[in-house]
Amino acid sequence: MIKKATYTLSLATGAALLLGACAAPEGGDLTEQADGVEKPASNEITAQSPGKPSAAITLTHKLRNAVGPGQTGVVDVTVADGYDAGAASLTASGGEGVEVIVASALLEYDMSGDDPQSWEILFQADSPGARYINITANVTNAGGGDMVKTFSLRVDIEGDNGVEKADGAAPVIDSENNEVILEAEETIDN
Amino acid sequence: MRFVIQVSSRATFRQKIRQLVVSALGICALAACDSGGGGGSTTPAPTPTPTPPPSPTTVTISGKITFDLVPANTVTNGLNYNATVARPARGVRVEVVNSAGSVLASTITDAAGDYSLTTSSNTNVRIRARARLLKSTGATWDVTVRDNTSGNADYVLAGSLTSSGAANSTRNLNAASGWGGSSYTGVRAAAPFAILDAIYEALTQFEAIDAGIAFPALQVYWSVNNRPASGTIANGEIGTSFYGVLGGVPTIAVLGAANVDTDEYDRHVLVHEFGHYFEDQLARSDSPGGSHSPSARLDARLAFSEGWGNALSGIILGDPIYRDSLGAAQSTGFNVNVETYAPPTPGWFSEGSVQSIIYDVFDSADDGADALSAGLTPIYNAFVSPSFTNSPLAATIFLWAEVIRADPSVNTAAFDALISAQSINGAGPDGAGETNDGGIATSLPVYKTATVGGAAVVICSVDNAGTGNQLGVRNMIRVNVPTAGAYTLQAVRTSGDTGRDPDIVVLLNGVTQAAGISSVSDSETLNANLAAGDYVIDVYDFRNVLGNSPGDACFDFTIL
Repeated sequence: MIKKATYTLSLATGAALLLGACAAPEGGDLTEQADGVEKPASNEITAQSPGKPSAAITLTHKLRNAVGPGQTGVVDVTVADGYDAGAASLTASGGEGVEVIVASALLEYDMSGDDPQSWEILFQADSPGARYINITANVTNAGGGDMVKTFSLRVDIEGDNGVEKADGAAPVIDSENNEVILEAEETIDN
Repeated sequence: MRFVIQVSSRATFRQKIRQLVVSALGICALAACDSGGGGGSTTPAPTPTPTPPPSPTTVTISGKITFDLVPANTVTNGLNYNATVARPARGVRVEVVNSAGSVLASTITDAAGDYSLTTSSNTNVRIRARARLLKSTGATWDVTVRDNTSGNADYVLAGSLTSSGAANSTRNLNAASGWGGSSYTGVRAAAPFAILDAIYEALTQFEAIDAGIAFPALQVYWSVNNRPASGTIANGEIGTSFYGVLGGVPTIAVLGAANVDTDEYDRHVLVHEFGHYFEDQLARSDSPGGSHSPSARLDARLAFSEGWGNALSGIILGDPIYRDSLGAAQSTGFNVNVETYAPPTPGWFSEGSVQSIIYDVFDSADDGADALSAGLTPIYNAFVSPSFTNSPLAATIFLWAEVIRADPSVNTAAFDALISAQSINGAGPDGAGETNDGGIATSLPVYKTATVGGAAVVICSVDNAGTGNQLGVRNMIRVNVPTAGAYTLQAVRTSGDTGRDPDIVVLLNGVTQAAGISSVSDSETLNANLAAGDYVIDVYDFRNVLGNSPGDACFDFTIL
């Protein structure tokens, strides 16, 4: 059953009900929400804006079967748009440790229709844990110019459920004082 | 040296004197020889050295805090790392801490990023700059950048642990971007300070209008792991950069995933989200949320809120071109000119129309229908006016226009020209008489009207402009409740597609009072205790909001 609530962004501290569609920032993955992804109590959202301006594209996705490292997985993606004209072009690429099968990496369609689009993305991951397939959606809207929106679709590869971490150097975490220490470039003149 | 001579006669005295002089000369010669390292048996007294002054007990450490600002590439809309410049970190808290981490003194950097702190001399200390804007007098604010993927830890830029010495000294700290030429290779220390700098710009411009403005505390979540994925915020799965109230705290969450989408240097994005924070905490927003775009036809409340955020970004940053970088190496992106962008279907439902109107009220460049150059003050005043914040009607372009028209600094005719140029012709705060339906006939009138115990009002929820909160999905119905009591509100499908899911939300001055959100097919019944007052009832097909088997259907709405 789809979880329902109603969301209203308002001034008052009175209760605001949260829309299932907006439980994730809009344009995110509704299936993730339907799967009941944990939200820490400290980040319970009681009001939320729709997010930064971007193409009016929404995605839902579902991993078709359990998949382990080195195996080919399939993600079923449903694409909906808020336009009645123009062209959409969506490109999939693998995050760290993920390779998207090239033949499945592109979806292009005419947005004049009402029906959502179905898209199968094939991929392989080299290690277990939470990995991401990144989507860039470009919209060329008749008379309206180009807009873009990005998505990261989470796929859980069987094994240790670690989450992909970003590239680059990691800062020092001072857990005692709950601080992230960023080393400065410093010059001292005595 | 004292000599005592005893003599028996004057002649003997003179002889003795001669002997004394010779002896004295000999002593002097001996002294000279002694000082030259020669022989001699007598050491003259040393010249006393001056007593050094006591060491100071305190010294002053001063300097400048800067961060790497990566500007936009105005051709690609990506980031231009080659043009990275060091910019002052304005208004941030600076601390001097000892080896144990105890704060010995603190201050706030000035508009040039300069600071000055007095501390104990000859003590090992470290200068630190917190990613925190703090102002406690006059206009007040408290904005902190935190890492939501590390237990919401505060970001702190830290210098080395070095002796404060016995004299004043200078320590300059720079937060580097971490960019290594083709990718991020170092710690992205600049990001939190780049975020704060854009927000500082907004804070100070509002301060210039209202010297006593009190901004509620705001936190900003940023992490290199913040990506456009749905899921757990603690994992960085924030979906997109957004404003929200998280755990009771006003929060702006900012994307930071390199090679996917980063927003720490996208200043228009940051100020756009600040605009939502301002709406929520100091003004009013009734936006139902949802996917949006300047070219789309939207729910009027969503269009107004988003158009405001876009316009504010151009106003605060002095640049009407909204840019957003993304992609591999942050090398691409898109832009929207909030002043000149022409939506394909302008109107009261268009984010693109709203941004143009608000920006043109502000700017000094008259163009097309724009003959207004009123600045930010009347715009701000309209947002915080009780006529806007306390109205029973929803926050749409109609309500805001009615309020700003009353501002004596705004030429009414010139303002109406802006409205008309965006194909908006409804009058009053409720858009009475509006004829532009955006291609969705059932979207008009802007407000339907129902009476308690009266005939059913027909409303329709359609997905012609798209699902979510696009134009035509939701309906606003005005109802006056004459006396407090128990009421029954009902929406029953009467035509169109079947298997719909109507919902009812009751709003008083924009605040939800009751909601009927069951999954009963084709009807919704809400029993609610309501106080007397003027309400706006929001009725929609939830399947259209969700985009799950969307369709077109009409419903009879009654309140008994």
